[in-house]
Amino acid sequence: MPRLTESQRAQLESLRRSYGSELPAKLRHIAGAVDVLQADGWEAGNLQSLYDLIHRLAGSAAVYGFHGISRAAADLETWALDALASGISPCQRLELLALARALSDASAASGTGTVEGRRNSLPARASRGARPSAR
Amino acid sequence: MGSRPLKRILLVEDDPDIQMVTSMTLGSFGGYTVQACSSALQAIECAAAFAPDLILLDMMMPGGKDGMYTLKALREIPQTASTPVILLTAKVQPSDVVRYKDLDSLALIRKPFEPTALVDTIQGIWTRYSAQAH
Repeated sequence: MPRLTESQRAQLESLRRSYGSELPAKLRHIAGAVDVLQADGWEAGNLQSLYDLIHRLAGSAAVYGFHGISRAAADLETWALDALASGISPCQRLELLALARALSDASAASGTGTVEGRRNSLPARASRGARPSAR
Repeated sequence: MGSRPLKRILLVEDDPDIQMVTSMTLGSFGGYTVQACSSALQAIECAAAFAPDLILLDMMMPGGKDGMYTLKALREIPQTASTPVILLTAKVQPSDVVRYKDLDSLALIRKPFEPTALVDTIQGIWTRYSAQAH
């Protein structure tokens, strides 16, 4: 890694903090997209919307150093790509919930908080009392 | 063209978070003049006036106007008809690499990238390009 000046390091850290402060909103948005996908019959347009959100998160989180979140988002992105290509089987529906939960766990581990959608679809492992209802 | 120092970079990246850190890194750390565009249309609009030395182009952009579309359009503009291009992409399947090799680009930088290494990476690519051009 190139040597950075104090000023450059501070600039990067400031951007990283700013990005981190926006992560909970990004994750809530994704949780909402998962909720919509579940609630509206797994429609392709909603799946595409979820994919777009996840794709962006997977890329940007890694660039800003949130590698755990990026990895969890990348797993979800792979799921969404497969689902876009082949459709969503009942098994994949359950898999989505597990992957979304893993993303929430990664968020909690990074200190950016857990994520809860309208249907509470992304509970962190520590608060699994209210499990999501798989459809 | 290769003997020219690298000064002006046209960055085409639709993700605002990645665009921000990339612009800051190239501008503040690398000392380059950066024109950031969020879409193919923005890039096409500002390409002629900005006249970049190098184009940094995200390949995956929404709305049917992706990197392929953008590059084709930029090649129609005299000021960017032969401007060297570095592709940014998260997609590096073998089939994508084959497609991208046909695009006459200098290099492909895989996303996500490490922002602190970006200036050295781009300067290295530019140096090799300059050496080959002469």
